Amino acid sequence: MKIHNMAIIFLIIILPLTMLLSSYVQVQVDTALLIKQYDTKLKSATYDAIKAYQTNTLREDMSVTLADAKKGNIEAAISTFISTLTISMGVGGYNEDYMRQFVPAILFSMYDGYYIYAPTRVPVLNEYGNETDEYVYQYILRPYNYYSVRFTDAAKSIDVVINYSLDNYVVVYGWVGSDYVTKSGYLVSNNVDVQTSESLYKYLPAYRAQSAGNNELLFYTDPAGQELMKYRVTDPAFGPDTKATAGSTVLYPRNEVQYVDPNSATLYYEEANQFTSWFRGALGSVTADKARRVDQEGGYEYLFPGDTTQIFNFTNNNPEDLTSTFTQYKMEIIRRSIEDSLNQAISAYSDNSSSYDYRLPKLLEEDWFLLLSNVCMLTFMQGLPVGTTYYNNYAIVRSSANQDFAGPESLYFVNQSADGALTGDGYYHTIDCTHLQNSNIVGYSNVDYIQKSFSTGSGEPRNYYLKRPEKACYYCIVQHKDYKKDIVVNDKNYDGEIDLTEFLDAGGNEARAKAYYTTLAREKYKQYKPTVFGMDGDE
Amino acid sequence: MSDSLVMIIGIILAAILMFIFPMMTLAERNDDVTQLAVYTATADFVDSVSSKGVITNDEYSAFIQTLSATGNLYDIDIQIYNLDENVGKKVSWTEGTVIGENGYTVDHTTQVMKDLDLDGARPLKEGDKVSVTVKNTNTTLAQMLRSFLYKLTGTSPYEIYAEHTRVVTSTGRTL
Repeated sequence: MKIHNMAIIFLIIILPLTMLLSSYVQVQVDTALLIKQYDTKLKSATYDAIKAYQTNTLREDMSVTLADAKKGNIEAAISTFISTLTISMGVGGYNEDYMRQFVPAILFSMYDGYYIYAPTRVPVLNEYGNETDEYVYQYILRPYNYYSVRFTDAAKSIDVVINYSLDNYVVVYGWVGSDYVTKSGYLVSNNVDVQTSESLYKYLPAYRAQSAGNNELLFYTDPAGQELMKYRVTDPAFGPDTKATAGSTVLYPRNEVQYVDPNSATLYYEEANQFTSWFRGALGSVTADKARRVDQEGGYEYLFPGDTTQIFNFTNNNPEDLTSTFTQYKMEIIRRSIEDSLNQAISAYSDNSSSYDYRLPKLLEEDWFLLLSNVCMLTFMQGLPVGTTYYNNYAIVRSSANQDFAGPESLYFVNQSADGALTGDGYYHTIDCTHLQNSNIVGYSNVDYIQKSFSTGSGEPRNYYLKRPEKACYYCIVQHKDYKKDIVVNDKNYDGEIDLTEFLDAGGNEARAKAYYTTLAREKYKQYKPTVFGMDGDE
Repeated sequence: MSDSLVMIIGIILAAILMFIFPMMTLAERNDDVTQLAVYTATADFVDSVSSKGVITNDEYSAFIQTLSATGNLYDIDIQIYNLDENVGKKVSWTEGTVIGENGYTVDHTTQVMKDLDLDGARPLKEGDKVSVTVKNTNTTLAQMLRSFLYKLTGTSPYEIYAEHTRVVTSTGRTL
């Protein structure tokens, strides 16, 4: 056989193989790229949704105290998620309902519980509004689930339900001995030095309606431009007007009503100590193996069988510490509750689906940590055909600025005098920033530095600051990296880990420590909580 | 004479068809797979940084190791866009529309590497952006063969290219 004949035969054999192989590899490459693109789109949509939630909840004083409004904010966030996801897919013909079918569940973890948005079997109503035997799957926001667990110890006559929260706040109700108790409060194991009296003012935007005179009216205008309150300059409650000039727009301290009790931090520790003392006496000996939950069949299942750890013994077990026994068990309990609910929601949807077997993917440990560190949104997207397979992934985004949860990471500090006047450099800092002066330190939540705007009705909107006008420090916040070097410089015992407690305990940092603990205690104290029994048992 | 010429041409054609063509095809597939591996590694790295809000030395080393395993050399470009929300506070707006008032300052690869060397980590805050671009700097087999066969048409300076950008969704600071 001639060599070119051999070449032709070789070509006939090798060419289809090469083309097939090439095509197969290309499909795999395209699939992998598409999956990554979907990951990005899912994450972006979730990020947009949490931003929408933040924007809505940060409309001060309007929604934070109303559970219904909060639910509305979550529904709005979910709507944003679905819209963004649909738009980002960018494929003609996709609409929101089409995309929604690939979202088997959305979890919204809140301060003391969570919402799940998932397709739920609901009965079809007949023309008279009565339920029929037929069912349909409808996307609804399911009822709120608390982070709760039941402890039953017959020998000690204890049968209580404990509702946990993201921090050290708990609600207890049930039988302790022969008493039925309903109490709530913060659990603490140590006392720190806090500021006994703080004067913190809230500023309101106001403008002059008339040119001058004692009868001049000042209007407090909400961000939508609606007049809510009026003051007269001469009203004793308002205080002397020394800054305003005729026709100008100024900010007035609403100092007749400080926005927070001056003794919040002290009260926080007083009440927390009282509650902790009762809690320790009533439930201090309860062990982990007494924790149980309702299982799938409606019976009870023990969460930690054989585990005799005393979760509520607060010796070397600081409930405020993320690594403490109390916190570790709390996290595990919350995690199992969320896993169960999500499993149930996704499996139920899967049973009704003929196209794809929906299953709860395994969440990474770091994602669980993230989920339980602040208000978070966890979204799932599954069953979307992608190349030779189906898409299956989740995205989790944490809210960083909200009024639901006051965590250490959300506190920023300024130098100010007792009357609220600015004495620092005009910037807000993290507590360990070297650009924060070592005296007259006052901390606020990160949402208190947010710029707002209001309209006078006729002119353009004006910006104002409800609490503080400072800008973010370029060293510790904008160029976020520099704070770490500050710690290295200040802390002689720096061991490679960022340890705030160690930093605050170091000599010379007493003022910072006091400001930090005061702010944390105050923010926790004033934070809105859906369920408050206190020590008296009254909600 | 003419038989010999045909024979020589036949041998050359056969060599091209039997060796160079399959080799080039396989080399290109190899580059495709490498491209996929590099893109996946880059996207995973950026996703992780975006979720955690920190670039750690360990994670960066693991990323480099994954890239090295493909047998090529790479130029890695990292850019961090630090969000500066102060801009909106510094300017007195004359219009009601102030969309896009935020600014960014950018840290490039050398600055990030310096932070990693000094501190072992480069923390980021929510709202920052992280962008990583990876290009191969060596000549892959496919590039070499392509350049050999049709050099006149020109070849791209790199064969493997991956880019991924994400907004940081979590402030990387654990107090």
